[in-house]
Amino acid sequence: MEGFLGAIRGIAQESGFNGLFEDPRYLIMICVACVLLYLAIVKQFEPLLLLPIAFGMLLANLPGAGIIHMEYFLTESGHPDFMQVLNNGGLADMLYLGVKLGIYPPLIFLGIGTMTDFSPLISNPASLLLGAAAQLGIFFTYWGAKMLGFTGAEAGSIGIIGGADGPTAIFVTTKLAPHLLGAIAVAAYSYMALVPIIQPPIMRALTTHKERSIVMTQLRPVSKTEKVIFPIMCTILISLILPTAAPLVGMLMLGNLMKESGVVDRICKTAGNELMNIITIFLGLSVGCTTSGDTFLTWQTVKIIGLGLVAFSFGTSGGVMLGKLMCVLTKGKVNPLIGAAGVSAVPMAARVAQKVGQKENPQNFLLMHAMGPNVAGVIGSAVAAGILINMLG
Amino acid sequence: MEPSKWIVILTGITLVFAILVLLTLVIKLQGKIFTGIDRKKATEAAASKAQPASSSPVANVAPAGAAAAVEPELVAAIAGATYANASPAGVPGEIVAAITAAVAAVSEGPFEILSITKNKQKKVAGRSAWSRAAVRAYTEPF
Repeated sequence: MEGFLGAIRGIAQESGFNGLFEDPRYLIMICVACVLLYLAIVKQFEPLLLLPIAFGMLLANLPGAGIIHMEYFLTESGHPDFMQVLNNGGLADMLYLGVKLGIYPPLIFLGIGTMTDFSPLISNPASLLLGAAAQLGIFFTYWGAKMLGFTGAEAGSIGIIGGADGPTAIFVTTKLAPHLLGAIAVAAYSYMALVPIIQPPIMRALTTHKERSIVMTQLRPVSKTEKVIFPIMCTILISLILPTAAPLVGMLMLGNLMKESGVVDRICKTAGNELMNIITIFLGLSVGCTTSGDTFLTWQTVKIIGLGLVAFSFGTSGGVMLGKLMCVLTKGKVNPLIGAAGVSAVPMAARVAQKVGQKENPQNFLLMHAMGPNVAGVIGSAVAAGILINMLG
Repeated sequence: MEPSKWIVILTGITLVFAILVLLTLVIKLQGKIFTGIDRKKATEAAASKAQPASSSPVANVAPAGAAAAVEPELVAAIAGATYANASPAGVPGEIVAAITAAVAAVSEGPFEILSITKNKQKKVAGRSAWSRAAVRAYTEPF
C-alpha cells in the first residue's frame, strides 16, 4: 500500500500541475496560446501559420513536457550545440533546426514564388518604387526600437515586421535576435491578419476623395518570354549586389521561374502545395515552441507588439505618400491607394486597395494595379532583410 | 562594432531604393525591347495576311505598317460588334460581349463578327455541344 501511494505521490510530483503551481507563467502562456488559437480558428487570423504557432506555444508551456530545449540553441557562443541536439533533442528540437539554419523561410518563398504573378509588376515597373517606399516602415521602426533601448540586432529584427512578410521576419530574427523569435513571429502574423483593419484609415487620412477615385489605364500585356527572363534577371542582379538577400530572393524567383517556364509543372505543384504545407507545419510548430513564459511574458514583448503596429502603419504611409508623389508627377495617372499595397502582405494589401478605391468609385478596379506594388514589396522586404543582416549580423 | 542607427537607416533606405530603381530601369528596358519585337511581329503578320485577305468580304484588315494601331482597332471592333449585335436572336448583350472578347483573344489580326445565334441543337448521344467539344479536345491525340 505504501509503495502504491508512494508511486502515486511520485507521479503527482512529476506532473505538469505541480509545475503550474511552481511557476504561474506557464498558466498565463497556456491562456495566451488558447487566445491565439481562438483568433486563428474562429476569427481566421492567418490560420495557416498562427494555428501551428499557437499550438507550439501550448506544447512548449506544458511543464515537464520538455518538447524543446532552447538552451541547446541559445548558447554563449551564439552557435547551436549540435551534439546536445542530436543526442538529447526531441521532436521540436529537430524541427527547430530548420528555422535556426535558415532553411524553412527560403523554402516557403519557393512556394510563394510558384503562386506569384509578376506580370502587373513587369507591365508597370514603377510599382517597384512603391514597394521600396513601403519598406520605410522597417527603418522607422528600427529607429523606434533603438530609442526604446533595444540593441541594433534586436531593433533590426523588430523593424523587419514592417516588411509584412512572415518568412522574412523569421529569417532575419533567427540570424539577428533568435531569443525574440516567438514574440516577433506572433506580432508579424497577427498584424498581417489585421492589414484590412490597420490600412484603410491611414489610406483615407492621407488621400483626398479625388485621388482615391482615380481610374488607372489598363496594363499592357506581358509576354511569356518576359515572365521567364524576369526571375532570372532579378536573381542575378539582386544577389550580385546583396549576397545576403540571395537565399530569399533566389528561392522566390526559382519558384516563379518554375511556374512561368511551364516545363516543370509537377515539381512546381509540389513546391506550391505539398512542400509548402509541410514546411508551414514545421515552421509554425517550432517557432511556437520557442515562446516560453520567461522570454514571452516580458515588457520587451509588449514593446515589440507596439512597434509592430508602428511598422505596419509607417509602411502603409510611406507607400501612400510616394503614390501621391507619383500621382502629381504623372498628372493624375496613378491612384495613390496602390502605394499602400507596397507592404508585402500578398494579396491582402492589394485587395484592401481595391476595396477602398471601389468605395469611392464603384467602377474602379485597382486590384491588378495594386498587385504590382504588392509583389514588389516581397522583393523589397527581402532586399531590406539582406541589408539588415549584412549590417547588423 | 555596431554601426550607428543613422548609418543603418540612411544606408538601408538608400540601398533599397537604389536596387529597386535599378531593377525598374532594367525591367523598363526589357519591356521596351519585347514590345518592339512584338510590334514588329504583329506588323509582319498583318502584312502577310493583308495580301490573301484583300478580296474577302471581311475586309476589316489593318494596313501594313499600322501594327501600333492594331490593338485600338481590335478594341473598336469589339465595341462596334457589341453594340451592333445587341441581343441578336434573343442573345443577351453581355453574352455577345463575352463571345466577342474570346474571339478577339484568339484572333491573330482584325476580325468582324458576322452573327451570333443560339445553338438550338439537341443533345447528341446524351451530350450537349460543350460536352462533345470537350470529348473531342481530350481524345484528339488518340
